[in-house]
Amino acid sequence: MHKYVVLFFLFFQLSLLSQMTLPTFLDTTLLKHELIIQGKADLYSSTLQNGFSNKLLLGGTISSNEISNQLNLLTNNNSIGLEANSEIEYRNYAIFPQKKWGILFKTSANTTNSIHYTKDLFGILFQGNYPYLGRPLQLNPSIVQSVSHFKFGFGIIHKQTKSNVSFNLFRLENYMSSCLDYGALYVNDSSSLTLIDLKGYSISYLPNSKRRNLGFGIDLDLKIPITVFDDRTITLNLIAKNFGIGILSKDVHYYSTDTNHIFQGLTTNEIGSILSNKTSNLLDSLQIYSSTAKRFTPLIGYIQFDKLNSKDTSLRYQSIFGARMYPSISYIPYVYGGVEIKCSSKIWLGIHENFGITNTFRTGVYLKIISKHFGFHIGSENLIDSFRTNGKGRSFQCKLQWRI
Amino acid sequence: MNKTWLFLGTILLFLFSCRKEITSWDTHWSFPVVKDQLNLEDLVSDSLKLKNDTDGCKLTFEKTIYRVNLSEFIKIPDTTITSELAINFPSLNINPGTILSQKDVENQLEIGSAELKKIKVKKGKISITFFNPLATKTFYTIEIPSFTKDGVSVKQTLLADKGTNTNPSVVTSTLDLSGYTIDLKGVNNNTFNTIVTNFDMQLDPNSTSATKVTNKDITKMAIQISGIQIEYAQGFFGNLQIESSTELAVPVLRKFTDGSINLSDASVELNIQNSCKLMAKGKINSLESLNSTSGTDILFQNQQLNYPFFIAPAFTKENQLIATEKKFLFNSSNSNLLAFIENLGDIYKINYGFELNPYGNLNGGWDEFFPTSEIAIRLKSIIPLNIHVKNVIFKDTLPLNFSKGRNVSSIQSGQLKLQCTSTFPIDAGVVLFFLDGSKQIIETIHGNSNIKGKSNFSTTSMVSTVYFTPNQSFFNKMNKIQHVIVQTSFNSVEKSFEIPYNGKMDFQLSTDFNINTHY
Repeated sequence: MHKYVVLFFLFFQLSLLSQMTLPTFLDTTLLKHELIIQGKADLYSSTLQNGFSNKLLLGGTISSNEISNQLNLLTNNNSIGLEANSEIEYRNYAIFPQKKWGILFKTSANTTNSIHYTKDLFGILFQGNYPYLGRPLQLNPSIVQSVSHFKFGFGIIHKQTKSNVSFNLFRLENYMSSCLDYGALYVNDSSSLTLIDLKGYSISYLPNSKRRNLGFGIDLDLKIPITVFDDRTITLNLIAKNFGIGILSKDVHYYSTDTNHIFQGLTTNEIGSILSNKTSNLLDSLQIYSSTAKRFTPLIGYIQFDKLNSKDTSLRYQSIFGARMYPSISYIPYVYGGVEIKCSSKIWLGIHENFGITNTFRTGVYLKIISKHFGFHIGSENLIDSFRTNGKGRSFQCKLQWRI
Repeated sequence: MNKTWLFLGTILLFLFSCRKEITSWDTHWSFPVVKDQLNLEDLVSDSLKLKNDTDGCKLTFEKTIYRVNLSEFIKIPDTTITSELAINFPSLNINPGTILSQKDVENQLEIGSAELKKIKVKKGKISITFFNPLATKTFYTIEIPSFTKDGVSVKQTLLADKGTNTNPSVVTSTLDLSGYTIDLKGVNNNTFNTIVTNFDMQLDPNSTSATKVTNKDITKMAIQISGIQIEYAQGFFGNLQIESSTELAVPVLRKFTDGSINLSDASVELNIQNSCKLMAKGKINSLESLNSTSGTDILFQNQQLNYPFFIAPAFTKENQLIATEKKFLFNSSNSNLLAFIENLGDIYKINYGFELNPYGNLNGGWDEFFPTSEIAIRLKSIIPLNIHVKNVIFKDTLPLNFSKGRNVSSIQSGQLKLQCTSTFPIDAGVVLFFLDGSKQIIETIHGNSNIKGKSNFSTTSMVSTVYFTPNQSFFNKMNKIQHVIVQTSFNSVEKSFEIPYNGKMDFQLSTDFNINTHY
């Protein structure tokens, strides 16, 4: 069971997470080639502090005091998540000189993970059941969603607006969707009686599977000019990314249960079966049903819009705002708003306040250095927490551009 | 500008570089693992039963330790009967349609010393083959009046194409003999093991010319009888001798490796049953109890052993075959039975001999065989459960592997708690031996106390709690463990105590472990 603890907190996450919130400029320059390398890592937590999650992710011994302190901060419904991706994209605007559009290729590695968990579930995973003898534990609602995949895309891009669409092939590295609709556990004071009440399911396709499943999807990046206040026009950047369908047909395990048990121990005959490796009998006796079936599953895609500013503006301060949502997972839509400061002709600094994901406010910041042929962007959606041990999450993003 | 990029690159490396140490934390778990009840009914099997008599609870063991069916001795071997037919003249022209015959040919079956008169076939077949050397088509007809079914004898007519002496044409027919009766008394009903055949050959009546036949044109016939299983047989079955021995293994007793038991009483009945309709003479040569753990071999001693005995033929009553019996009753007063059982032998050897029809054909060839005709030795023992045990060691080896799968947790410390409520009058001490892959003991854990048995004077069940606390060395070696030996040493609470029929022991094993999770 403990290996699932690892998966639980190392890879799976909260329903959340940011994709790039490094607003780009409205760029109508006619280019020949463009190479974009970008990456991000965003760890988010509603209640779990960075000191604790650092040890989970980066290593270290977690003391019982740290567990107790963390436990005191938890509510009955907590969440944690991790999203990370890196992408390389090449755009060729010169391939069809007479056309208005060029082509693009991109490849990326992505992982999106989220988990909702109760305080009792955290307690039993990090303390064991001994401190909870004689007390019923509430394990629901608990949800785990995790997808990791490689993406290979090909598309077309409008030379002037940079609006583009690409069609993508996904190679799924792991997939898990688990939900505990109802879960209760009780062990009496003398450890002689266990009550288990479970209703839930789990579909999993883990990294150690020998065979890979595939998916297909689409990315959209549209620049949409909108007239406001009768005379002003602003451009919105509408992005839909990683939308598609995963086809799970190989090495997929499906478990479901809707049962309650009073367990006082296995009989000697059952022990004999287990020692003979007849584990399926154990699953049957616990009324956990397993099957392998071909399934189609939506990939975890997101929709985002941002206001696009012009880098050629004479204004020193410009507003920035945007929003993002993940339709396929339980996730509070993320919105942000702030100001972008033109520090010099090549340097911009943005500061924004954002809200969503788990119902908390965060402060984001970014820095952009843009020259004629190069661009460098770096930022964080959660600047303050990123550098605090008792902060709740970390967020880092960066982007490099080379263009001629 | 270059310095700016270098600076920004350094910041990036700082932000995204990460080191991965081992993440670990400790948890404390306590769960029930096993809950079960041991009672005397758990001993019950096909051959072992409990009997709750007014004078106490008894363990009865009843098993047929030897059985031999008469069909193993009365067999019709696969046999081929051949016959040849040729004219007595050097050369003849024979007209179409001419019939040549061989009538009432008696063919002897080779079936040892048995003199069979009649057989009913359960299963078997017959193949009839003709080899035609004549230069014309020929009809061959075989009739076997000895083989009848529903009053009709076997009769087959086959048409063989023309052939030559060197390359005769061949025709074959096969017939299923299931349900057929074979009369082996010959043409005149005065002999045995004899099959009668009639054989005709008719030259093709549609031929337009005579066929030249010489005395070298030999027509051959082969009757192959195979796979005969007998349902009934009558005759004299001969003098049959069986000299054999049987081993009865009781593997569970191999797990008792030491100590002694004292029984108050026991009895064993050896019943030799004869369900063959013929006289039998037998002798039990020896009976041994071998304890392979201690190497102790005890020979059973009784005056009736090693002396021949006779068993009358079985008889038929109201169409039922009634077996006759010879019983031997052994107890502590006429034999060394108690010592024999107290040896806790896991192998019992019985050596015996039987002779059927020891004095030849005394009943005029009226031995009869039925499917149930057999000689059987049945053993029945009754042991009152008034047993005194002293330091009896019971060892059971079980597979145990802690190293399966990816290991992200390890037990740091803990203990097993065994809670027992017993009404058995026996104390039990438990020791666990843990073995590696080469079955060497690498760790031993003793229970901190014994499971208490109920004494004569106690009116309530005895409640015990036994803790098994491994030391740190055990947890360090856990991945090497492949087997566990559960050793239980039993001692009677009182010198003489009867195990009650409703005796039982409820037990529950629970864990209490500190586990370190790490990855």
